[in-house]
Amino acid sequence: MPHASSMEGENRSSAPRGGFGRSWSILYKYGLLIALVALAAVFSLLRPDTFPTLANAGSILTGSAALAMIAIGVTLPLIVQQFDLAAGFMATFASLIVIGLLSFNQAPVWLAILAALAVSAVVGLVNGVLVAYAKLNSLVVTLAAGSLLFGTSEIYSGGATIYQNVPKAFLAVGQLRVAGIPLPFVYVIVVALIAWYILEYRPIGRYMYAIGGGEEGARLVGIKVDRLVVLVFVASSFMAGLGGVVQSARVGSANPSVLQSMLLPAFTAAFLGATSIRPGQYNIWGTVIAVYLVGLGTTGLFMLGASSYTEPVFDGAVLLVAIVLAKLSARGRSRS
Amino acid sequence: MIDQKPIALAVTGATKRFGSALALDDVSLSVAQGSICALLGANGSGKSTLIRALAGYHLLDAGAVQIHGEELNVHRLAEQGRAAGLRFVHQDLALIPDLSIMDNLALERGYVRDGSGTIQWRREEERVRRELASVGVEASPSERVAHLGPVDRTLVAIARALDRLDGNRNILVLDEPTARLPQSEAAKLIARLVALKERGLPIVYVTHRLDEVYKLADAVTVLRDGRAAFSGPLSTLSSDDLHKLITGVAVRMNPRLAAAAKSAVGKAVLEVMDVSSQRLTNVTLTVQRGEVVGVTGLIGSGRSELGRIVYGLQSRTGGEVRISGKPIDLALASRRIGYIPQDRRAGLFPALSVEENITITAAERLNQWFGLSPKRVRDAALKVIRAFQIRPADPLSSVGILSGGNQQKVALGKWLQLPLDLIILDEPTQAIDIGTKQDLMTTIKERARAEGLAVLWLESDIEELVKYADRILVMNAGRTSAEFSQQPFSLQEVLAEAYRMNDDPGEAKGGAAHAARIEHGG
Repeated sequence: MPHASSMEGENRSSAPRGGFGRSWSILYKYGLLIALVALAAVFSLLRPDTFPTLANAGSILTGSAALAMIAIGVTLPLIVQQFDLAAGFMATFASLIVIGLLSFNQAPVWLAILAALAVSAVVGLVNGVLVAYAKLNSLVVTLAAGSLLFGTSEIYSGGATIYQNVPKAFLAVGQLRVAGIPLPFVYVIVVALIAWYILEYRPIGRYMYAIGGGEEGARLVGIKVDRLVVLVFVASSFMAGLGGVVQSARVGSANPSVLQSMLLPAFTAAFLGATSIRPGQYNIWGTVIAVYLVGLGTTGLFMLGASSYTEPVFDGAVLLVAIVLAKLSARGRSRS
Repeated sequence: MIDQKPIALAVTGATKRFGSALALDDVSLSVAQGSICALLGANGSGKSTLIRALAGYHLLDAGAVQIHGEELNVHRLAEQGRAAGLRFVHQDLALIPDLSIMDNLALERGYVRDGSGTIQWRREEERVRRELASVGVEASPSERVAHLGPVDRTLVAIARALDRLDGNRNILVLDEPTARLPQSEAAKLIARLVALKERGLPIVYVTHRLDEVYKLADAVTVLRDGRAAFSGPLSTLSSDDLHKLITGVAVRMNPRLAAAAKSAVGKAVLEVMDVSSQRLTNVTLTVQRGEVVGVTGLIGSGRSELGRIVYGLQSRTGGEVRISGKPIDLALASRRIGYIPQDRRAGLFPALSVEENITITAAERLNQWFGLSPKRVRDAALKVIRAFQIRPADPLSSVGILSGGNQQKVALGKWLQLPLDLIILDEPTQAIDIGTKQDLMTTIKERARAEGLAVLWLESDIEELVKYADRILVMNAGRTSAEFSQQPFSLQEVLAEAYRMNDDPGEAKGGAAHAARIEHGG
């Protein structure tokens, strides 16, 4: 088989030889993208007036932007076999900080954003140190951190939505369009490009996949595993914070209960993403495509008249399918 | 046969072939009721194969097995052996440390329960107390196994294996139970085993330690190259005889290397000075530029620990390690040291591709201002794949699907592509076919000759060392006990040194149980 030696070292699995096997593996690799297009086509046929419109496309791209950031965030710890369950609460907390500083303290926009992101990074640092150096289980650490963030969010906001006195300059961050493309989607693409570049083209990215492949082995080849794990948690938390900031700029408000529900969909996207592009491994483009697949799916279902409770059902079902597919694709990798 | 007592287990004419290799060739062994038969032999002599065949893991190609005079179907040894009372306790004991002794025993044979299925804890405890007493364990049945010493753990594993201690229907096969014990603990275990034997239990006792044999065995079977070099009562053999029986192998030397074997006089790359640790006592050695230094010794001698200390994975309690004149931490930061651990899988990423595995050590070197060029990475991987003839020659196939030999080529290749000062190899050719073995060791030798790579080679297979090492050090209970630098080496002499009886019980250092986790061998 002539290897796809063109781009970076993708197409990890040693695919079965021959024309049929090859087209099968390509189908597998881009399966998620194909599913996305197919789903769009189905909804377009069923709702030709409302679904395939620029406005709807724009709203799906913007609506899922915060989720995409959080999902890219949680993908990073997953690559090194760790979990960041605090991501959803982190996004919530960051959105409250940025809106709170603008609304209560009339802080300059840049300062409010910077503060929210800095707090996110610090939370990630604490999580990372507890996991990497205190050798605590990341599930427990980030669950606790999430609970702390949740409680703090409630206290800070008094349990209410903050929306007063949010300056226009901040709303512009989340609502402007560049060449017709909504800014939040531009952020997603930029963030995804950076994450992808680092994972694929920098030694540090290789080291992350190596840690995921075996921490002991990574240590034995001289990788500074603990330091890198801390960095990964900082990055994950930072992304979640970014998601919170983008979301609050988009809607012009923040409340303590919206973003935290994005944790499960974020993991769904990461698991689903791992079945595609680099089948069997968590990867950024897989995650991003999966986010939009889920976003498009829920929007389409709404348009078909499903109730808002359909969304968690849809998310849960997709998550189950995702982990089954991930298992199968991992098995496919080790066979052949 | 020789004994008055009835024969409990008799194996005759056991033969097992793996492909073209004859692993067992007409081997016979017998244990009388109430006696211990020691099974001896160097690495690869067929001990493990014989034990595994008895347990039913391997099907014998020929041979007969009798238990208590009854002929078993050799194709159904797993079930029939068990039904007839044959029991195995393997080196790792397979106990669950976090559970109590009671729970561990019940895993094998179930709990005492009443008609409704409810566990009768009181009666269960009594029963376990009796079982523990019969093997000589004084701990309470509710004690967690993790809290037990290594000897008690072994005895618990034995109690679990035996079903009726009084009935003497059982035959116990013990696979190197003292391998990871310090000398003093080993002596305690041996005393318990002798007590069990005297109560009638027949035991097949696999060991590497000759001194133990005289303390407990009545009969002995020595395997060499798959054949029984001796099988009969111990009383007729001196310890010198045993040495000869185990080691009587012709020395073979690779002619190409023999020609190249010229003691390279370079500056010292690795200097280990007076290093002590949990199991090491004042170890001193140097490896020169271009020199291949082999270190051998039985399991528990500390050779693996030496490698881990030199690679900075384990701390030392005293002494100093210098590499190229620099203290160890600085030297490791320079990334000019390679290490291949004994557990091959620990050194590899089985789920990642061959390319990812090979280039992980070179990522820093391959990196450019714009990041890693996929083409550079691919070329680097292909270069190693070609140089080491890794099969399949596909940089994208995952390492987990490769054969053991090819995995080891990946492990070596990922280090040898770098400009190294020193490489530490811990059993690099373990479970690899002979051809590949020779290729790998020849490659390493050539690399040492051509570029001055210093090699610290920790190995249990002395025959390999004799063939390829420039110098051989033998370790015994944490000390270097002998050095051979005169080539050609005499395999017999090195073997004799490694198997030298160590009658100094104060020598062994404590804490063996955990320190020895990856220190398995033959």
